[in-house]
Amino acid sequence: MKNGEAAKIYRSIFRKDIPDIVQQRFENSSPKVESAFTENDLSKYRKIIDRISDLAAAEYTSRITGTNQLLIKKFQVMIYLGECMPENYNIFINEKKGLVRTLFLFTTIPFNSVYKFTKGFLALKIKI
Amino acid sequence: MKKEIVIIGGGASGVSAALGFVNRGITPTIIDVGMRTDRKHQAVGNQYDYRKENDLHDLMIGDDLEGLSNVIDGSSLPPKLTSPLNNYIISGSEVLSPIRSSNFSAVQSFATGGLAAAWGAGLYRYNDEDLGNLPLRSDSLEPYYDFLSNEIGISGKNDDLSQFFGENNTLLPPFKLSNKAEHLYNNYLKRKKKFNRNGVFIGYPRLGVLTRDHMGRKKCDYSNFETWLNDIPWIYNPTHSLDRLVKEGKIKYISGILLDSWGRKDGEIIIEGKNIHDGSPFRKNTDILLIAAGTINTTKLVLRSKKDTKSRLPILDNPLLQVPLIFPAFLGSPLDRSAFGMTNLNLIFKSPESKKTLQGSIIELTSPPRSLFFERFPVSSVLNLKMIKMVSPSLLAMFLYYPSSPDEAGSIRLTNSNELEIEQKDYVTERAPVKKIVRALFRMGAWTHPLIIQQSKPGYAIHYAGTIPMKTDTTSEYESSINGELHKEPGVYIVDGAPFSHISAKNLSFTIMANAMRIADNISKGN
Ligand SMILES: Cc1cc2nc3c(=O)[nH]c(=O)nc-3n(C[C@H](O)[C@H](O)[C@H](O)COP(=O)(O)OP(=O)(O)OC[C@H]3O[C@@H](n4cnc5c(N)ncnc54)[C@H](O)[C@@H]3O)c2cc1C
Repeated sequence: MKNGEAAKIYRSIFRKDIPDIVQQRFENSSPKVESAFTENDLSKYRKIIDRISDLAAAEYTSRITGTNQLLIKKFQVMIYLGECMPENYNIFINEKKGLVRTLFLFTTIPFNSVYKFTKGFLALKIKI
Repeated sequence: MKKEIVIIGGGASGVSAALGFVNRGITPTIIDVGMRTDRKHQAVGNQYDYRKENDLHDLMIGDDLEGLSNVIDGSSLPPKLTSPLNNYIISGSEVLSPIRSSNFSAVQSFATGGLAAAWGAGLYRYNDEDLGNLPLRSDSLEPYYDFLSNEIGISGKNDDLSQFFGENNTLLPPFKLSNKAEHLYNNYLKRKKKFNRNGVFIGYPRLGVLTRDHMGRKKCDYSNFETWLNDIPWIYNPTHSLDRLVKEGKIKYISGILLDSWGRKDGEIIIEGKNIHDGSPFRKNTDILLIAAGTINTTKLVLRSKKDTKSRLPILDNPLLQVPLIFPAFLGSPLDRSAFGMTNLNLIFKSPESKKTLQGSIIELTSPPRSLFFERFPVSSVLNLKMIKMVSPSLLAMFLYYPSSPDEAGSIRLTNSNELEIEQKDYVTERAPVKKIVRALFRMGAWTHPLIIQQSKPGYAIHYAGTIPMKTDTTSEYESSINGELHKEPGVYIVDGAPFSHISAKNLSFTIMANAMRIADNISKGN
C-alpha cells in the first residue's frame, strides 16, 4: 500500500492505490495549489494528513464548517486528476439503469453524513 | 470609396463590421491582438468512448493546470474557458489589460474571434421591445440579421418562441433534444395553454451551431466534446469568416498589435499601440476608425485617448440566476452520451404582472468534466462520487437572464496606472417570476427550489454593454450617435456592445453583430 499525501487522499476518495502518474501530477500541482496559503495553513494541513486516518471525514467536516480550505482544494484537485484516468471511467459514468441503487444511495445520505461529520469533527478537535 | 478604414478587434463585432464593408466592395483593415493556438487535439468519436481508452489529462487539465484554474484561484470561469485547448482565448488578459474589481468578474479576450471563440452561440434577434429606449428600431437591423444568419448557419424552429425571436425561414433544422429536454418539452406541449397563461413559454433555441453542413463546415456530431476542443467546425466562430475573407483578399488583417489610443493630425486619425511580441511601437493613419475591441477594451481605448482617469462610465451585464433542474424520472438513469451538450431549450417568462421579460437557457450538462459536480452535493467525498455517477445524469441547468438598464449599471474607470477599475453592486433580481417558473417547471417534470438557485456574481453573464450610450442627439463625449459615431469625434465609430445602454434578457451578441454591420454599411453608403 502506497503512503504519503497523494496516496492517502486518493485512497480516501477512490478506495484504491494511486497510479504513479496521478501521484506525479498531484505533486506537480502542489506548488500552485499551495501558493495562496499561509505557512500556518500549510502546517495545519500537514498535521491533518499525518495524523488523521479518515481524511474523507476531515474533508467533509471542513467543507461543512468552512475551515481547512487547503484540504478541500486538494480533494478537488484529486477528483479532477482521478477523472482523467480511463480506469476510473465506471466510477464517474453510469451506463446502466440503477433507480434502486440511487434510492438506496439517498437513504444512506443522512446516516453517512452524520457519521462522517462527527468522525471528522472529533478527529480535527482531538488530533489537530 | 477611397478612404482608409481600420477596425480594431477581430471578434464577433469587428468581423461583422468587416462583412458590412466587404459587401460594398470596400477592403477594411482589421488590427487585432489576435492570439491563436497551435494546440490541436485529434480526439475523435464520442467523448465517452474516447475516455474509456484514453488518459484525459491533456484535454481536461493541461500542463499548466488550466483545467484546475477555478479550483486553484477560486475563480468562476465557464468550463469551456478552463479547457487547456481553449484557455488561449482568455490568456494574457491580466497582463494586456489588468482589471481591478472587488465583485465584478470580468472576462476579456485578446484572441482572434474574441470571446465568441468560446461562446454558447445563442443568437437571438432583438425586437423593438428588446431595444427599449435605444434610438434604434428592429427593422433597421433585419437585413443584417438575415445576412449574418446565412453566414453563420443558425439552427432552430419556428415555434412558441417565434413571437419573441421572430419568424425565420432561414433556420437550419433544430437539434435532437436530449432525453430530459425532450421529456420537459413534451410535458410543456401537453399543457402549454395553461403555462402560457402563467407567462411561461418554451421552445427551441436559435443557435449558431450547424445541424447541416454549411459554408464548408461540418454539422454537429453529438460527440459531447463542445467544452473540450477548440475551433469546432459546427459552432460558428468569427474566425471562420475572418480567415475566409483574408484568404479571398477581401480584408487586410494585422495581428499581434495592442492598440492604446488614437489622436489626430492634419485631419487624419492616427492610431497608436505596440507590438505584443517585441514591444515595438505601432502607428497607423486612417480616415475612418471603427472600434470593436469588446465593450471593456473599447471603453479603455476611448478613456486612454481622452486621457481621462476621472470619469466613471456605466457598465451593464445581464443579472443571471443559475437554476439546477433535477428530473426525478431520470434518477439512476444512464448518462445520455449522445445528447447535444449545450443549450437544448429556451424558456421565456413574460407576464403582465411582471415588468421584465426573462429568458432561460436550458442547458444539457453532458459535455463538461464530471468533477464539476463534485461538492455541489453536500455529502462526503465518497458519496459525492456516487452522486456524480447516479444523480448527475438526471440534471439540467437553466441560466435565467434578466434584462439590464442604466439604473442597475456598475461603473468603469481608468486608473492612473492604466488599469481598469470596475465596480458593481450585487444585483437585486425580482423573485416573484422565479416562483412561477419553478412551479411551471415542476409540472413539466423538473424539480428545483429557490434555495438551491444561485445568483451569479456580477459580470458572469459576459454580456457587457452600455459604457458609451447610443443617443439621437449626443451631448457628452461618452455618447455615440445612431450611426455609431462618437460625440465630436468625426470618423470614429463604436461598433460593439458599448453603445447598448439597455440590454434585454436575450443574449446580446447577434444584435451587436447586426448593428456593427449596419454601421459599416451606412459608412460605406456615405450616410
Ligand atoms: C463562455 C461564453 C459563452 C457565451 N455565450 C454567448 C451566447 O450564447 N450568446 C451570446 O449572445 N453571447 C455569448 N457570449 C458573449 C459573446 O461571446 C460576446 O458578447 C461577444 O463575443 C463580444 O464580441 P466583441 O467582438 O464585441 O468583443 P470580444 O469578443 O471581446 O472581441 C474583442 C476583440 O478585440 C481585440 N482587442 C481588444 N482590445 C484590443 C486592443 N486594445 N488592440 C487590438 N485589439 C484588441 C481582441 O483581440 C478581440 O479579437 C458568451 C461568452 C462566453 C465567454
